[in-house]
Amino acid sequence: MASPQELSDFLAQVERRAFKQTAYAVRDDHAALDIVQDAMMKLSEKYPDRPVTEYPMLFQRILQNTMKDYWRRQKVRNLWTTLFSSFGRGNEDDDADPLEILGGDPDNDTDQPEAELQRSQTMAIIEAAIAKLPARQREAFILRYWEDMDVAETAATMGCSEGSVKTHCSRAVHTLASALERYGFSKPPL
Amino acid sequence: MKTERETAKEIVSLLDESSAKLDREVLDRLYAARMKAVGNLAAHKQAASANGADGRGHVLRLFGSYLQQHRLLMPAVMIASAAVVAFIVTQQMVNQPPIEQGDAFLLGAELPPEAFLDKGFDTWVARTSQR
Repeated sequence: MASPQELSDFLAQVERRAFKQTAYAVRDDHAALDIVQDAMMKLSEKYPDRPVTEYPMLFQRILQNTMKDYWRRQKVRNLWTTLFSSFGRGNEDDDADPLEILGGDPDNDTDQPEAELQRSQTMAIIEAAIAKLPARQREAFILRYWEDMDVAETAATMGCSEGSVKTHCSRAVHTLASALERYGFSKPPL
Repeated sequence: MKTERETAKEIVSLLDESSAKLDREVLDRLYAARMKAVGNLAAHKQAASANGADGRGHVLRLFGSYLQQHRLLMPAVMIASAAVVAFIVTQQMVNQPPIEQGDAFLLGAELPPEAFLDKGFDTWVARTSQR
């Protein structure tokens, strides 16, 4: 049974990654914050008696389900919007070009060192590429490599086979590496 | 040639760096959300310890927790239960067989049941009452 302090430590450890992960998926920072908050509340409400060792998988599962609920609501909302409005346009962010994102901060061109600029450019490309990944690939990549789950845990969290996890991860890494190469970055500057 | 895992690690290090540079507003909201969740857990623990401090009340606590989680469902369940009970009682009152009513009449009467089977009984009663 986890104590409030243990829950606090766990959430402090994962909240930033959870927010970024959700923001990549829903492409809306405010919605991402709401989703992460919902997931935190559900974890504390529904699983207060679970040991803290189970929290990473439980939290990820709750987070994924909360995202799916958000998409379902969005789908219904979009349906009504389409029905009642002829002005419906797609989300312009879908077509965002990473190169446009790179030009978003002019200060970097003048004030920051070249290495810092290149690093932030690489980061922007990676983030844009992650946001464009198919949902399952993104989910598998983030759980497997960012949350550092093993293949079995990732499969259990995603509700699919271990083979599917490996396939999704491989494709995601290949796509992200290709995105970097496309913009002239042979590898992330580490 | 880097392996998939090496490439992934390099990408993840960039993502870590990106998540470390979140806006103050986002960090504040995450902190508030975390405190809310922790407060919720603390309240749950406090209620749990109050209910079962000496090892008693575990069943009630479990039941109470279930009720709390499904509190929106409970009014509907109670209304449905009341409707079922009302239906059963109504059926019992309306469809009570006449034979049972007859039995009750015979058992409640002062005369023995054989008296009601005698064909001359009604005549005898009429004649006796005329006197």
